[in-house]
Amino acid sequence: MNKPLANPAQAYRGLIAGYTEAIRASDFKANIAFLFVAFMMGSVLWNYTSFPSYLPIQLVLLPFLTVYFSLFMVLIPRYPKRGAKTFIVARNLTPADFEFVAQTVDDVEQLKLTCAVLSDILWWKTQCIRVGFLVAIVCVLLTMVLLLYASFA
Amino acid sequence: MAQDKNAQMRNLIAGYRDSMMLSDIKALIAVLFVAIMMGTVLQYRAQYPWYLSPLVILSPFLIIYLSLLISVYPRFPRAGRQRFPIWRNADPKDFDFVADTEAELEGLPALCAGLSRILWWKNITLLTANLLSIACLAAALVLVFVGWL
Repeated sequence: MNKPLANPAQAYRGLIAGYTEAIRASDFKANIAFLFVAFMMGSVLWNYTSFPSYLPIQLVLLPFLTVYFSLFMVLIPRYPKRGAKTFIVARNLTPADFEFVAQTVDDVEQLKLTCAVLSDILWWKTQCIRVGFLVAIVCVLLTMVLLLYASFA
Repeated sequence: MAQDKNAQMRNLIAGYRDSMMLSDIKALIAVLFVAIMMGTVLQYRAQYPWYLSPLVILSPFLIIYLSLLISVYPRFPRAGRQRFPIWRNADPKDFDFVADTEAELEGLPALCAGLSRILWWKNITLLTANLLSIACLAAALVLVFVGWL
């Protein structure tokens, strides 16, 4: 049996806080991953002349560019239209545009919509960051294999 | 009594989340440190003794990268997915479950177990990277003095 909550808005706010925290953590990881990949690209390109002939520059750069693309997709600012009613981002707003805040602050339907919007945003961020991280992990593994091959072949 | 247990569970979950966040921050800073160090180390490759081949120099860096990337890879516990859905095009109606408090309380132990598992992986991979970094620094210190003497 479902037990009704004393203050249902509170539970939704907790969930929204969870989503916001996860989104922030995801952005932070993507920002640092950007720096990591940028430093690595410098080291790799610096030593490009020592690379074997079967590694053309296009092939070497492809994973870097893929990871950059994924991380940009994580960090791109998103303000979906369906949540725009309660979180207005516009030019030339007046104080009157924010009078709705007091009316909708405890509206459960509105909080559910915010949860849905944040879940959608977090889904995109998670997918993109996973692509970036998986490409990075696979490339590190491939580098290890290539190093072993070059040393012992 | 049951309320105490639930409160303790929630505290434990908050503790796990804090530890995971700290672990992620440590791993992210470490990955930057190692990436900067790798550039510096590779820059002087021509002056290294013969036994320091590219394989020997790069292996620890690559193992550390792998450990740290696995450590920060985004994971969400399976047990908590029903209470923390990450869906594309989620509908506001999908969030009716939030009102069901009993299901939330029943799911707390499973969530604790899931978070503990994730933290264990984060910890073991971060520890591997840290220990390997310390060992490599010690080896570098010895090699520097061996070359000097």
